[in-house]
Amino acid sequence: MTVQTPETADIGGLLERLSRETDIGVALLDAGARFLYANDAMAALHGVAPDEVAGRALEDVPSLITSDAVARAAREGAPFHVAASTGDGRAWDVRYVPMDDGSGRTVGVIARDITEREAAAEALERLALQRRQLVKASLEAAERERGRVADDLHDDVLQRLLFAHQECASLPDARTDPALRRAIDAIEDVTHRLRAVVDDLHPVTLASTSIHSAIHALAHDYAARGPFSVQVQLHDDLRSGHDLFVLSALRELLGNVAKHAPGAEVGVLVAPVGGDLVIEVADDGPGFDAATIDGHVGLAGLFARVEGSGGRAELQSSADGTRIRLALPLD
Amino acid sequence: MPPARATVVVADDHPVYREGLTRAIGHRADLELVGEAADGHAALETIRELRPAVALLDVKMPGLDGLQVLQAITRDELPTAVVLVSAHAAEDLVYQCIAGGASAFLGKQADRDEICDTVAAAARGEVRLPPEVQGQLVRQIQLRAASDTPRLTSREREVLGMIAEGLSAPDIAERLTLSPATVKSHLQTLYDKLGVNDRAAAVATAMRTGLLE
Repeated sequence: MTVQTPETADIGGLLERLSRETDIGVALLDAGARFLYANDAMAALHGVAPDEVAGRALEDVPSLITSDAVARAAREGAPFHVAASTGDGRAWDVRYVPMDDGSGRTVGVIARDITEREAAAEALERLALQRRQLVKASLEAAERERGRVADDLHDDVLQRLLFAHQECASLPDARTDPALRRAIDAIEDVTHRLRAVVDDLHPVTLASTSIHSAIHALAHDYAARGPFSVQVQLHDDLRSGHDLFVLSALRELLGNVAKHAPGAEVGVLVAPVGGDLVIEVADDGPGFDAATIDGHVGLAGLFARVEGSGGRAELQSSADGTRIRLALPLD
Repeated sequence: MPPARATVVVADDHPVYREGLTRAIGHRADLELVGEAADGHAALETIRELRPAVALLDVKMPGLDGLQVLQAITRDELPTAVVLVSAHAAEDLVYQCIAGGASAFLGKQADRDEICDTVAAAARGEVRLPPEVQGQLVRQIQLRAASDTPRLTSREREVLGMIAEGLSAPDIAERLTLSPATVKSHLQTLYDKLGVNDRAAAVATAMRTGLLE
C-alpha cells in the first residue's frame, strides 16, 4: 500500500474529484467571463455536459452567473454574495470569489440551492408572527374579560351589598342588637373585600378616574404588599389607547418586585418618549438572571405582548437592581 | 306653618340602591323627593326641568356620569346643590368633584341618615365632607402641588450629582462600579424624567426644580 504524503498527493486532482460529488455548483471563470471549469452540479445547472463547459462564454449559456458580477469580482478583488433564482422557481445563493492565479484574474463561483432554507425561514417568520398575534389577542381578551367581570361586580353585586348594608343599618336595633351588629360588620367586611377584588381586576372601573390616578393607586397598593417604597413619575399627557395594557403591565412588573425585591426602592415611569409610550419599572433589589426570563411566564408573556404590538422590551438585571423598559408605539 | 321642604332629585342606575335612597328621602320631614332618574342624561333633563334644591347623584352612571352632570349644572348656573355618592371613591375623583363645585362627596356605604343629613345641609348651602374624604382631598391637593417636581430614585440622584460635577458616563460607571450600559440607561431615564435631551439641560432643569442646589 502506498501512503501519500502531503508533498506527493495530487490535491488539485482530489479536490476536482470531490467537487464532482457535491450538489453545490462550483465553477472557475476568467475575467472575460469564459468558463475554465465547472463541476457536474454547475454544468447540469447550465444544461451542458461537464467536459463541454470549458471555454464557453457565459453569454452562450443561460446562467445564474452574470458577467457583470464576474467583472466586479475581478475588479474589486473581494468576495461577495448575490441572491439569484432559476426559471423553475428555486432560490440560489451565488458567491463570487476572486482568485489571483498570477496571470490575471480568475473568479471562482459557488452556487448553493437555498430554496428549502428560504422556505423554512419564511415559515418560521410566519409562525413567529402568528405566535405574537395570538399572544397579543389572548392577553387583550384576558384584559377585556377582567374588565367585564369587574364591571359586573361593581355595577350589580357591590350595589346590592351596599343596599343590604343600608337596610340593616337603618333598622331601629342596628346599634343595640349584637346579632344585627355582627351581620352589619360581615356585610362591611365583604364589601371591603369585593372592592379590593374589583380594584385588582380592573382599576379603571370609573369613567371619571384618570389613568394617572389608577397608576398611583396601583403602585401604592403593590408598594404596601411588598412592602417597598415607590416613586411614580407620570407625564401629564398619557393619552395612548393603551390604558388597560399600561395597568396590566404595571401589575405584572410591580407584582414581581413585591415578590422578589421586598424592601427595594422602586421607580415607576410612564411617559411618551419619541413616538412611543414608555413604561419603566426600576428597582434596587437583588436582581435575577435575565437569561432565565423564559421561566418567568408572566414576564415572558408581557414581553411577547409588547413585541406583538410592534414595541420593544428591554431587561437589565444585576446585583445592583433590575430595570425593565417597555416601549409601545403610539398610534 | 311648617318650614318649606328642600326639593331633591335622585339619580342612580341601580334600581335597588336608588329605591333605598328615595325611600329614605321620602321619610324625611325636611326633604321632598320631586324626581328620580336611572342615567345621567335623564338626571340632567329632570334637574333642568324641576330645578331642585339638591341633586343626589351616583358617580358611575351610563350616558353622562355624575361628574359630567355636576359640570353641566355648574356651567348652566342652575340653582341646584350637588351631592355625589360613589361605590368607589378614587382620590382624584373626589378632588375633581369638589373642585367642580359639589357640596359633598360620600361613599355609598354611608348610612342613609348620614346621606339625608348631608342632602339637607347642601340645601342650606353647607359643604360637608366625611373625615375619610377630607383625607383623600388633602392628599390630592398635596400630590398636585408636588407633581411639578420630577421624582428620582436614589441612584438617579447620585448620577445627577455626578453629571453636575462634570463627570463623564465612564467616570460615573467606575465610581459607582456599574457597567457603562447601566449608567447610560440611568442617564436616559433621568433625561426622560426631566424632559431634556442632554447633560447641560438636565443640570439646569434639576437646579430650577430644586433637585440640585
